[in-house]
Amino acid sequence: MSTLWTITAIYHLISILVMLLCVLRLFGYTRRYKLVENKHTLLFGFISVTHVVAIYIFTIFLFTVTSIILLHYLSTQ
Amino acid sequence: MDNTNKFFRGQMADEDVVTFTRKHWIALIPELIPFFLFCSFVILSLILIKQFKLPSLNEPYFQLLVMISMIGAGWLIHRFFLRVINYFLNIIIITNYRIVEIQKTLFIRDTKESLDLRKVQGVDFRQVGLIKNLLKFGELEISMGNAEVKTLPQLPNPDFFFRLINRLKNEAFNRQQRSLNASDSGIQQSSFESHFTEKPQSTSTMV
Repeated sequence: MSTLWTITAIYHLISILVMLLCVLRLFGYTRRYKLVENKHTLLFGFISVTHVVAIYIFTIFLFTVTSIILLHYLSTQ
Repeated sequence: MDNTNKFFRGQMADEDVVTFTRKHWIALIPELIPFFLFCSFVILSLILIKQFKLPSLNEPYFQLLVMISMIGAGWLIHRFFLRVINYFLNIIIITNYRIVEIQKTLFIRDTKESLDLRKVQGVDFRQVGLIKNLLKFGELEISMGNAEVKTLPQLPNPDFFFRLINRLKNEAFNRQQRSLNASDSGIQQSSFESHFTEKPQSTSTMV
């Protein structure tokens, strides 16, 4: 049981680190390319890469929290 | 005005960015549909979890199943967002001198291809099919001098880019002609001047 929790903790730590690395690399890219976005260049006319990154960060934290709650629920069953 | 590296890395001093574009959002459909199906499945499973009779977490097989599900879900989430971010990084920049295609991913790929507008022989735009015409996307084929054809696939509003590249191509050609004429007249002027300034010297040496 403790092994499962340890693996889960390590996995989520790696997951968050990968996400942070992606965000850092993307900020490096946005420093080099300062192109002015408009409705023709945005995804569906309104979604920018900043929105995608915000959703990415939120989803990873949601995934971490949900899986921990789920594991806790399954272990107390 | 010095535009060096102003909007993108590699921009020249007198180069102006006319526009830039990405692929049409249809390019993301193969990523979006499976991800939304996966999200729907996860949400439905979480809602209905109390209705399933699940084994105890002390069972090793169930532990393995939980681990595989969790790793798989995490991998799918990261893969989806990385692909969407990569969609934003792949851009085509059109300047008054050239077309720059940047194919970049966050970790693996970083390629740039530049097409000189003066060397463009012709531009073809293809928008064949019901979906392409309804959603306004298509291919742009740019033929270069050495029989090389560069295809820009899944371009949104290709008619606009077709007209724009043709206009910029003509402008680049006219600019080149003007500079050639100016240099020709400069050569003629200098040869005319040298003829009259050097002739007395040559005659003096002859004498």
